[in-house]
Amino acid sequence: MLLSNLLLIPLVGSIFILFLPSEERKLIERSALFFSGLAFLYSIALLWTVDYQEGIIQLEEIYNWIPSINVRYHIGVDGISMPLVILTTLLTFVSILYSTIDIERRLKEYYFLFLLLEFGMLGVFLALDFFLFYLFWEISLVPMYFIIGVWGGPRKEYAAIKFFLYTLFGSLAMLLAILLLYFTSSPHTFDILQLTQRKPLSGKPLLEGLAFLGFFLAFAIKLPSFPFHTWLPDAHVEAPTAGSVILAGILLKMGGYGFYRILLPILPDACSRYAPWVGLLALISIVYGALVAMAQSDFKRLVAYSSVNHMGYVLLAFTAASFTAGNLTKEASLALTGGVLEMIAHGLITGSLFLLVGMIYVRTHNRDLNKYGGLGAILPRYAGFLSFFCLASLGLPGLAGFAAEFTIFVGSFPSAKEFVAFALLGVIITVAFFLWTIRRVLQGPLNPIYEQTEDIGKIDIFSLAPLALGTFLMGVYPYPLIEFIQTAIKTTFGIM
Amino acid sequence: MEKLLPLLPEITLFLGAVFCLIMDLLGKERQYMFAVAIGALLVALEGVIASAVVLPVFAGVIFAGGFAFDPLALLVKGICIVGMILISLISARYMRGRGYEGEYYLFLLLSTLALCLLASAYDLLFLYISIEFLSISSYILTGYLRDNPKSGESALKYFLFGVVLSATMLYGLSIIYGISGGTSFSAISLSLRESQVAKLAFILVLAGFGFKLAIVPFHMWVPDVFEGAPTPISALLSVFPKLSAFLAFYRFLNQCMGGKEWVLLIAWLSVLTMTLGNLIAIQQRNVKRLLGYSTIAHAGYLLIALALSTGYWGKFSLFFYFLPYMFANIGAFAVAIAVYLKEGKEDLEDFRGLSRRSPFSALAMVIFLLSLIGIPGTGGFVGKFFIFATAIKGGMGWLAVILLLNSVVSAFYYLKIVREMFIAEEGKERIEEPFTLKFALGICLAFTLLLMFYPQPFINLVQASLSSF
Repeated sequence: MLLSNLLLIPLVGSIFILFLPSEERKLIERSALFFSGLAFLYSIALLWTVDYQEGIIQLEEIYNWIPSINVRYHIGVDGISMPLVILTTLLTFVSILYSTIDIERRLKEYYFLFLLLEFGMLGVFLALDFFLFYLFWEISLVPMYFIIGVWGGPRKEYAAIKFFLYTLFGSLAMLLAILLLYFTSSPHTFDILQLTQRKPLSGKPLLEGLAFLGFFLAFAIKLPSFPFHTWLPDAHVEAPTAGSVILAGILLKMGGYGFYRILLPILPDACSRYAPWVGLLALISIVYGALVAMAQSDFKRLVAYSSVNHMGYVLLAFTAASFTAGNLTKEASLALTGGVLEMIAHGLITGSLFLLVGMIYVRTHNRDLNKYGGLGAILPRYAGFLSFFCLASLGLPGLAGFAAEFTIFVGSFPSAKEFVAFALLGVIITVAFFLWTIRRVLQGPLNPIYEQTEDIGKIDIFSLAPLALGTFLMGVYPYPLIEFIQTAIKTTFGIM
Repeated sequence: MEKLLPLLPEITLFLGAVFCLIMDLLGKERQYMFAVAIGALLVALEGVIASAVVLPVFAGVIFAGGFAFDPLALLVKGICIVGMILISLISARYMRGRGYEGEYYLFLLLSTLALCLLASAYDLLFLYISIEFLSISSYILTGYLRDNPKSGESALKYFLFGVVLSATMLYGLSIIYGISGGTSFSAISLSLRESQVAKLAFILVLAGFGFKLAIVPFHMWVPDVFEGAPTPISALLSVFPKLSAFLAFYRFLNQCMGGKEWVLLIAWLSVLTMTLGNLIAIQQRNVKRLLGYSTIAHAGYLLIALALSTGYWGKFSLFFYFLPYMFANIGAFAVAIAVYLKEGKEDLEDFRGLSRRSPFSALAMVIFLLSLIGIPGTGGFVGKFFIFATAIKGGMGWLAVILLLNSVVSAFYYLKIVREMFIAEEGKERIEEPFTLKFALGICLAFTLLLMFYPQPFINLVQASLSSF
């Protein structure tokens, strides 16, 4: 019941908030904080029940749900999903904390949706049955539609519907792929672990290719990879700050998680067949994402495009592993480990960057990078955090981003040398635009309009501090995390 | 006497209708007529259950090969009667004070009777008569808003369209009789490949069914009728005639047709129907019209299941789909009634700010619309899931892809309503739904969620109904 409780906490919280009177603003905020905080503490406590030396699925729960089509409620965690679960609970808590000073209208609906969103996201990382997985995958879609559409910026309606339709298209494609797997497995099953073992489509190139296409569309849209990324800048820019944090921090990771947990283990042959093409998309995402980010003058759009760039590394690791799929090498497992690390690091870092963009926006009502300047002199605390996270994002050694990217490159090099070589180009551009951002925002002459700007307050710091701490710890001592993830990946792919 | 036991639902419905008529003549408190109708429907539901008990004894085609008494017919009758209870509930306030209330419920019960007869039709003549019976009750109910010229106009359009198509169908049926020399389904075997006349007859019969099922190109009456008819009747027309007609068409295709040439034809009609319904729905401003086009699209989805109904998954998903579809669609129309009672119309802008004006209705409406899109967390997903599964299992993956694209398109216009309710800010005065409406909404909502999270009993029910046929 340990994991079901974790799912129940946000669900109960959201239903609880639904029954609070909408005038009790403080009470609503506090209950949301309470339930998301509880979920976070609970997920941390779960760490003591998990065995790090074991790569297998732990804390498993299986119940029959719809016996006549063999659908089961099957959840569990391992080294791939556990870090993402903790990232989810942490970022949700931080987002809710920041929302208490950021969101002012329709609080009840907002926090109801936010906790429902957490329920959906946690479910995606915990589910081990495709039916359940799909259920959670879509449950996380609906609240985000409302969060963007109701509390978003000027073009919120357009951004919300674009986000919804894009993702719906991807997930329905995944549904078809799931059904293909279901009908080709005997006995018919939706169980992800059983399908991983049996690989029912191996040896049927056409069907396997179609299933690959279905899953790939879903995950590549969610990740997002070039050319499916066009929903991302709109959704990120229009979403309220906390919404962007969750979008970048967790929703994108659902795509990456799908690549590692589903696509590669279940369809290895198709993965290796299409690896060069996927690698090409990864490279374009890395380089093109970085270049487009550099061209932005809107601060939020810049951070949004930097996500395309960073998620490109996740896809690069997937490509490198795909080249050796079927008989995954140790190095490839290291690349995948780096990919998971990158997801965590990106969640912490980009989540914080979106928070920082939101903080400066409420103070200056401006997101145009060219209009800032010299803010470092009057906002010392803000400047400290911004510099820290920009450096972390560009991959400064000693911080999380570096640990992740380095692991990816080391692991990917043996099987995908050319791709890694080109990907390094993206790293250089990333360094350039983040340094340029720091310069444009914090250094240079102060724009006189912003002389009266106040520095960030207590709640801002409380929101950023845990993320900064995580970024730092992951940067200086990533070893235990790497161990944990890599053991799980080795077990998933059967490497001794 | 015991030979009449299989007819229990029909007999109780008929007696209920007569009772309604008498009550109407005698009574003064006509606003409670809906309760009388619900009472009659509950008795009829008992009749269905009772005849389910005697099913093992009498099962088969009875009354000289004209009346199918099988679990599937009982399932359809049961769904229709339960649904009609919901329709009566949402009618209660809508029809109050309009006059002739007693007759309204009389015709409601008579159309239920027609639906039950159609569900058992196993003979060309019987089929034709029950379709006519159903149509005539529907024409009258459509034109029931005597003070609203749109209502009369739509009834006339419905009537003219219906008369032409039913004559066409009758012509087709007469040709089939000419070919096969019998009218019972079991005596007929049409082969499309061999005979040109059979092809002609099939097309003519298809037109008749197409009218009831609202298949493109026989759908033209739908938007006007849905907009003009009293809203509860639009809700009725969107589900039940389709359900019974689908069962009759399913019997016709699987019993009377030799060969499977029709499969591809139905598949293409499905593509045409869902695509056209969805594309036109995008441009609608009136919610009843929009839901009208959306029912056309749903008929298209159901045609996928029908095309593959020679296999088990096809039959199963065809009839299972109606459960979530019925609750979501009636629920959506019920919310439209709540809005209508306040605003006097039901255009998109009348839904503006509904999340403020009536949080319960707005939340329920979101869930119904998500169910109609087929988003997990709602029963509609399970229904659509089985249709997707049918298409994949039946080797018609291309049809599944078209269904996928259509689902995305449909999400666009359903979300337009959601947008008005939640995203648009300004809220006018609160809306207080009458109790009967709220009750119906609650039932629809509960079943929409139940069908997702605990679908097994419903699956068992449908499976049991398919087992012995």
